[in-house]
Amino acid sequence: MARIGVNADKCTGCRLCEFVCSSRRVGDGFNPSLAAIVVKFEGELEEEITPVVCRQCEDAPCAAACPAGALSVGDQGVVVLDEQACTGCGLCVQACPYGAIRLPPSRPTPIKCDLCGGSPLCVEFCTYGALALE
Amino acid sequence: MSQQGRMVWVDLGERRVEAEAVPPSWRDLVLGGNGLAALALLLRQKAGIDPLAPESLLVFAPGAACGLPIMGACVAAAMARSPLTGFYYDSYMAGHFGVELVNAGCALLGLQGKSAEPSYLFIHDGVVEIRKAGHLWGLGTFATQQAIRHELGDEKVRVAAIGPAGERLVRFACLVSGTRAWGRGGLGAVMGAKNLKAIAVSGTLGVGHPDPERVLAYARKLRREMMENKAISSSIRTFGSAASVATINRLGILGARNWQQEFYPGADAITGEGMLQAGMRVKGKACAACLAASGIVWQGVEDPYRGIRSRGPEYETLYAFGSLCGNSCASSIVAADRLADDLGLDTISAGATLALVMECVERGLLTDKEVGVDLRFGRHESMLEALKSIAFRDGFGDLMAEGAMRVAQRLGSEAEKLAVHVKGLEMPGHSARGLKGMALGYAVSPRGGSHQDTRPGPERSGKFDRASWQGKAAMVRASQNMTAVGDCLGICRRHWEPYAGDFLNECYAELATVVTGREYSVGDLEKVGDRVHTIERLLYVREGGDSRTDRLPGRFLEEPIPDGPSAGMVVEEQELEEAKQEFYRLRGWGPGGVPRPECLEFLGLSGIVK
Repeated sequence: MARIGVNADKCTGCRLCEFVCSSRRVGDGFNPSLAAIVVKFEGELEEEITPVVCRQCEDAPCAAACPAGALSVGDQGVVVLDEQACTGCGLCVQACPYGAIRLPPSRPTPIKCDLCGGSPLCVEFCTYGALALE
Repeated sequence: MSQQGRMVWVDLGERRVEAEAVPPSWRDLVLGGNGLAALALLLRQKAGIDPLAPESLLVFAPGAACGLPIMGACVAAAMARSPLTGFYYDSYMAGHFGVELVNAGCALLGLQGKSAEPSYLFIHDGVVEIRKAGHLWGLGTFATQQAIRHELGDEKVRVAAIGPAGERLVRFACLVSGTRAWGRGGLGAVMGAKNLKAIAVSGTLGVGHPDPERVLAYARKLRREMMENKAISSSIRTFGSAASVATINRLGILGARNWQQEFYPGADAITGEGMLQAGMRVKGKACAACLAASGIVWQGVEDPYRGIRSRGPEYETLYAFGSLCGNSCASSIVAADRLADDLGLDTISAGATLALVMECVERGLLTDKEVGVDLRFGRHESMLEALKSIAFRDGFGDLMAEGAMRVAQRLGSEAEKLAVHVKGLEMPGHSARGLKGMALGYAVSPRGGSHQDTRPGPERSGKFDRASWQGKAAMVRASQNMTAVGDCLGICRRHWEPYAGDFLNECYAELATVVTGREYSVGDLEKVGDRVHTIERLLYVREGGDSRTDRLPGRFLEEPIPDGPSAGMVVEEQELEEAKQEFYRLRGWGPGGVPRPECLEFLGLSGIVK
């Protein structure tokens, strides 16, 4: 079962993962607000830093919540979103305990990690060892 | 760079917002960032405007590379006429704010007028709201940021805020966003005078680029080559800029006790290695698209500072609150750094102003009673008390809030001999006596005592002989051109100086080409650098600056370094004057340091500049 593994202790908050991930969704540039991985900052000095990304759950709550059957477990255990079947209702967003699937206001369908088809860009570009393909 | 980024002009008094496209000719001439801010001020603001008057224009301009996944691309300019120097000051902040501005569709933000009541701006994808800030007035910069994010219900909003210092128009008040700052030149006071507490930004528009795959391929190459450079991937990641204290002290050019000395026996306690061994390092943080993670969080280990954390201190702060104030207690510097950030004070100017007062007290020019607190070299508890009194303009703090130059002017000619500043901007931690090129660089910088126009690296590393004036005019011009282009593109020097070097070269040309999608040669970039510095010189000249105001403090001309590895070094006035003339000539300016018409013609500025 494949997913992006996160070692938050090593994350420095550079957000390169967000930039490069977004390029898969934006044809003509970069837009971190459309990335499937989001870096969260907490603490007064914003020093508690955690990358949040889909954990490709075996018994995915998002898939269970979806009334349209648009989320299902595919190859390598990746939870896949069928954009055609999706109605944009957002129940998956509410169901995910990690906040790892998002529905930005500008988008008809949610954004979640699909492992870039096997060579995740975020893992490639992280220079701190915070992300790994597991 | 953002194809859709616009110039957004806000009149805080009239509550009016106008947006327009960046004129293509402007982008061709100056790319973005530094150049765009300077050009906008030259063309949109008249001479003689009081920096704290409602008419005073404050502009923000992200670098052209911001928003792209290019290592080090995150820096944004903030620029206005400075209440500290009376000339123009361009300040640079890393972190995440500039990238957010770009993603909100903003290539330049210009603020004019004064709000009738305390306000903050909220910019969301190009829409600007002016919101009430009465409930925020008085808060420190960290609390302000958190309160605004909470109020807007969005933890991803980026906020740049002033603290009590900016509200009270302290002449070296700064803006803070996250744990980074637009630190120097008193731009926090310019905001405070506008009754503007903060600027909040949220951007979901993204950044366009003609060839994103090329950007990713370039980023892969940068990643590989920068990671191989141990200066970046090892030393800077461990210590940030803190390791420089020991390096600089070993050369005997670390400003100590208000620059009375340049060798500081306590240096090892306040350098990165010493602080690491004392258990003070917590973790490293990065700015947007950053590979260096030089934003070290340090914490105090000695009472009464035990457990106090700061994202910093940087080298400049270890100098300004450390050696410059005769203070070797690293924990106190962490606490002072944290306090200065929260109050919204530039640490360099604050430390230098305190150091001047300390020397005045020790020489009997000031009494303890007048100062109100026991301010002497090494008294770090008094140093922290004094920072609060400055930010709140309390008692003697009200005079210290004016900066070293004005403190000295008030105290008289004996004190003026002790004030170490250039054009009113207090000296940073790089020696003029010990680095002749920096001496020239400080004298001719339009900002004053800034270490970011001319850089100390070429001389400190030994590539140039720091004791010689030979070739220094050309070196200063070349260094300034690199910093100007870097600040137009908005790239971080902690990556790019170790990676690409001290002067413009093929690395920078490739960067500019990938970022803009247009072919840039090294010659093209040199011209951009020449152009931006000439624009800044025009701003300087129209406020009364010329060769006579391009000068250094008396201490550097009259008092040789007394001891240590650089004992005997001093700035020779005759050589300085000759080097200045050579520098003006190389820049195409007249002997008074005023740009000639032929120079403006050559740089393509005649058409738009009178």
